[in-house]
This record gives sequence, C-alpha cells and structure tokens, in this order.
Amino acid sequence: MSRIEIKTLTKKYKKKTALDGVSLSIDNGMIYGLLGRNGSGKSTLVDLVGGRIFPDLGEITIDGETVTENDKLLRKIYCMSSDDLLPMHMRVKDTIKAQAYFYKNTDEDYAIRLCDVFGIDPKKRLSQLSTGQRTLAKVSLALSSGADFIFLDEPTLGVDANFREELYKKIIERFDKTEAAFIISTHLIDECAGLFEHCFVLEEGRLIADEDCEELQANAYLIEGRAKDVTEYLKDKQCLKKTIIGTLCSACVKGEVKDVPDGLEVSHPSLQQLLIAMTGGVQDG
Amino acid sequence: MGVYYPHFNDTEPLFIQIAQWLENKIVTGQLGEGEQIPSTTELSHSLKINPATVRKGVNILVDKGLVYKKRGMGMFVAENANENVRDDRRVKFYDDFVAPLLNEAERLGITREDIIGMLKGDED
Amino acid sequence: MGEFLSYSFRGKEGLRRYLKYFGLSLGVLFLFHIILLIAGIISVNFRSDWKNIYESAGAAAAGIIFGMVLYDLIKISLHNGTSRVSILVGSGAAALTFGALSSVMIETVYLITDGIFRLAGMRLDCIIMCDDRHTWAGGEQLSMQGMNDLLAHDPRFIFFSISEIFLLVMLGYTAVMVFLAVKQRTNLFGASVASAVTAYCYFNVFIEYGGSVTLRGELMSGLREKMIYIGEILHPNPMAPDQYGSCLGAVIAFLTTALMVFMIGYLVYAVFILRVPAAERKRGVR
Repeated sequence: MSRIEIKTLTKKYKKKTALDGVSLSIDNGMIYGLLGRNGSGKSTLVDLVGGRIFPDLGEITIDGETVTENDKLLRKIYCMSSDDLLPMHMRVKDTIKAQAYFYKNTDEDYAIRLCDVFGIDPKKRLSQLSTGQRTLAKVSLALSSGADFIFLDEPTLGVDANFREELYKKIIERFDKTEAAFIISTHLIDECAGLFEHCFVLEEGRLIADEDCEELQANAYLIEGRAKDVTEYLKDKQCLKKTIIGTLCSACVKGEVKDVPDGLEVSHPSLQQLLIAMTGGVQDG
Repeated sequence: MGVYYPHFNDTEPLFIQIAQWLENKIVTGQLGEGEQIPSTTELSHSLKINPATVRKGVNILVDKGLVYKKRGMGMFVAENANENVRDDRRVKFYDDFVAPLLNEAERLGITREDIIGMLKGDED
Repeated sequence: MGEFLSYSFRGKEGLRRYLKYFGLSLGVLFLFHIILLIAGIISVNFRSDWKNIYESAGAAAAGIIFGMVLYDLIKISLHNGTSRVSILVGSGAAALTFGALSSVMIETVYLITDGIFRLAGMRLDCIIMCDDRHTWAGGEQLSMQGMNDLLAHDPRFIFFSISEIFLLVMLGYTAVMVFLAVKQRTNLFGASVASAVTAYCYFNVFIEYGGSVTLRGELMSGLREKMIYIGEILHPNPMAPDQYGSCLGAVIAFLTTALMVFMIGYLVYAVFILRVPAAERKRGVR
C-alpha cells in the first residue's frame, strides 16, 4: 500500500493565491473525485504533484519521501493535464513510445488498444486530432502508464457521450486490474459520481471537503416550502444555498435531516447540486 | 452489444439503489434461486460504478441472507430468497406505499371511505 | 537520470530528428557550394578563393536545430515526470555529444566539397587567418598558398579543423540555450536580444573571424592581447618540425575554449531551467 501525503501545499501568483495550505492524502486502490469550480486550484494541485510547477510552501511525499525533483518517485505518479504539454507535431504512436522510455511499466499494446476503442488513429499527429480525440489520446497514455497514482484533469473535455461511457468503463477496468489510485478532476460531476469513492472539494485554493462521497451526500438535504417557513426552519441550521422563487424557497442544508415541520418537503441533492451549493454564494434569486 | 442501463438516480446512495435493483430482480424471478448473480466486476464495469460501491450494495443482500458466496465461483441467490424479499416488503408495505397514499389523500381531501370505494370499484 | 539521455539518443524526437534537419541543412549548403562551383566555372571573375561557409552557416544551423530539438525534449521529459536536475545534466551531455558529432559532420562535408573544388582548380579557405596587424613568430615565411595546399588534406589538420568547428558549434549551442532559457521568462524580443548579445560578446572575446567579418570595438581592446595569444596558438605553423606539438596544442586550446564558451551559457541555462514552470496557466478565468 502506497500513499501520497500533501502537506500545507501553497502556490501564490502575483495577483492570486492558487492554493492555500492544502493538506490531504491519497491511498492507492481508490478512485477519488477532485472537484471545484474553475480557478479553484484543481489544476494547480495536479501540476504541483506532477512536478511541473514548484510550491511556495508545503511538501508532497510518497511514503515519507519527498516527491519534488525525485525521478523515481515522480514516475510513480502520472499527471494527465488538460493543457497540451507534448509537442503537437508528434504522432500518437510516438508519444506512446516516448512514454515507455520514462515510465518503464508502460503497456504499449494496451495504449494502442485503447486508441482503437476510442477511435483514434495512432498514426495521426496530435495537432490533427479534434479536442475530444486529443483528450482521449492523453487518457490512453495515462491509463497505460503503469503508474501507482494517476491524475486525470478533465478527461471528458470535448469527448462525446458515447466515448465518455467507454472512458468510464476503461477507467474502472484498469482500476480493477491494477492497484492504482485514480484522481479525477471533472466538471461532469453527476455523470462521474458513480466512479468516486472519496471526494476532495476545492474552493478558492482551500480544501473545503475531504470525505467519502456517501458521507458527503448523507450530510446534506434539500428543504422546500414557503419562504417564510423555510427561513424559520433554517434559523438554527447551516444553510449552504438558498433559491427563492417568488414566495417559495428551497434550501440546501448541511447536517442530518431533523425536525422537519409539515408544510416543508425534504429531498436529497445530487452530488453536483451539493457541490454547487457548497461552492457558490449563499443566496440565489 | 448488450449494454444494460438500469435507471439509477442521482440523489439516493448508489449502493442502496444497487441492492434494491438486485432485490427487484429476485422478487420478479429474473434472478432465480440458486442462480448466480452478476459478479462485482461485471456490475461495476457495465454500470460504470466504483467496485467498492457495488460490493457494499451486494453485501446488504448478503447480510439479509438473500445471496451467498460460493468459494471460487461467485455470488448465488439463496434458497427462499424470493420469499424473504416478499416477506420483507410485506412488512414495509405500509410505510412504503400505504402511508404515502394516506398522506396524499389527506392533502387532497379524499376520505378513507372514498379510498375504500376506489378499491372496491377496482375489484369489480 | 538516464531516461532523458536515453531518449535524446534513441528516441524519435532526439538525435534522429536532429540529424534529419541538420543533415538537410548541410545538404543545402553543399548544394549551394556546388552551384557556386558551377558559377565559378562559367565566369572567370568568380574563380577565386571563397570562404568556407560550412563553419559559420553550419554552426548556426546546428545551434538553431539543436534548440528546436532540445525544446521538444524538455517538453516531453517534463510531461513524463522528470526532475529538472536530470534534464539539466542530460541537456549538457546531449549538447556536447551532438556538438562533437555535428563538428565531424561539418568537417566531412567540407573535405568532400574541398576535394570537388580542387578538381575544378579552386579551393575553399581552410584556416582562420589573422590579418597583418598581428605578428607571427616567423610568420612571414609562410606563404598562404603553401599552407592551404598542405593543410586541407593533412590528417593533423583535420583534427585541428574539427575542434575549431566544435568551438563555433558550441557558440551556436550556447546562444540557443541562453535563448531557450530566457524565453521562458521574457518575450521573444527579450530572448532574441539576450542571445544576440551573447553571440556578440563571444565573437569579440574569443574569435576574430577572418577578413570582412571581423568585429573589433574599442571596448574589446584589452582583450586583443588575448586574441593575439590565442591566435598564435590557433594558427600553428605546420611547416615547423614540432608541428604535432603545436597542432595538439591548438586542438586543446580550441576544445578548452569551446568548453569555456559552453559552460558559461550552460550556467545561464541551468539557472532558468531549474525553476522553469512547464505550464503557465492564465490566472483567474480559464
């Protein structure tokens, strides 16, 4: 069993703090969701773990050893970025061959099979692929890398619905076969919710949730009714987000369901709805 | 191609939905006693759901004694599983169906007599 | 540590790509020389010595192409989980080996072309000549003609020539590495200025490149003594009995100068490479 420990990771830019003291740990053998709005720091976190940028504070370790500038440990991690970091004139099959020099456990045949499943011609250059195909090519590289920790940053970008289904299936298949950890960052939260066991939620560079998805969803509910009644009900509760439509109101409440009076309806949010409630402003409408 | 799409919703915990789906299959006889249920691998790969979640759902059925594990072979539907699910649902019938019916009826101003009338009318 | 080097030599985007484009450049230069040769046959006025431009154009091409290849190698290895230190060490080793290989290639093409020219009764110049503002130890005895006739085919001179070319190639490489390094932090203009300044300084400090291409400003006057000294080492008298010794001395001087030139640029490169981010995100809205 291997574990990545991230301790108080901080990255500041001139006008903005991209990550602010984020601490979390990742064990292999699990699928994690890395969620948050645009600019919340998800991609910065992935870039830091992958050694592409350097932290201002904090450290990243695997089983106690620092990852930064350590080739051996860096190769235990594979980061698929939503940016295009490889030379665009390279052919897909050459990117696979190149990867094999660095990630020695790369399964080249598997990578080619994945390209086939995803409808990608390995002889094509990266620049000749559509956005979706390029994303899938990058995912194929990631899945075949043989790394212990695989970070996928927006693996659904530009990918059509049919191929997305294939993608999820391939992720689960690979997950089953290897003991790797998958950390998936995505905006299609409800579609991917079934994949995740544990979720990290980032908001403005800070980690605001670090729980199993089930727990996260069990600790929130929706309440609907007359605005007056809802406001009264919310007095001693933690309201994450409120939506007002005329005299009616619906609110997402944190905690376990309790003391619901008649006249108010209870239901449960989807993971996406919950995430929106957690990361937006409190009032809506 | 055989792509199977049971309709799971976004709001209830997935492992509970999986357990209920399997129970439905047992109660309707689609999965008969002594028959093997789809493996965790098959379920997670086809449904694109985390294997740990699938396992959790199947374990609910194991705890209820509805399925059992045959070493080296997989999960099988237990004897009398069909009966047991029916009994279980009979017990829960009031809470799951009758209480909501009565609540809705109350909201709409439909009396118990009206309901009995409806039931009788149905019989004819 | 070894993955970057391994890929630079064996991978498709490394040595193979470098040789493809560099070979192409040398081919173009070769064709250019042949065209000049043909033109020379046609017109009497053309029948004179002309400069061996393999050294300068070849070195410049080597530098530019190396920069292109190195840039992609860095991208590929950073994407594939490589530490900056590995990339740095690997770049240095790759630069020196590619440079040596390129020098040999340039010398080979030069020799072939020179041979062809001689068949037509012309010749390429084959050494950097100091002009008469410098003094030789016994330099008056040398006739340019005699030297040229001997030198091109003298095996000792071939080594001499290769190491001289290596110096020029290293100059090209360092200018390009400085460019790559600075480009990460500034815009294209800043980077171009940086590499032009580097090239200019090196030119003046280490090399006085024959005839009409000399650049000598008063700024560098204090270094002229050094140039004369290096000039005498760089231009041995092969007619003298101990020519092995002075030729070897010249080769060593060239190589050490090349390494000096390279190390300075390499250090600049190192400073930037060790901290360069692989992915600069647009801040705020993505």
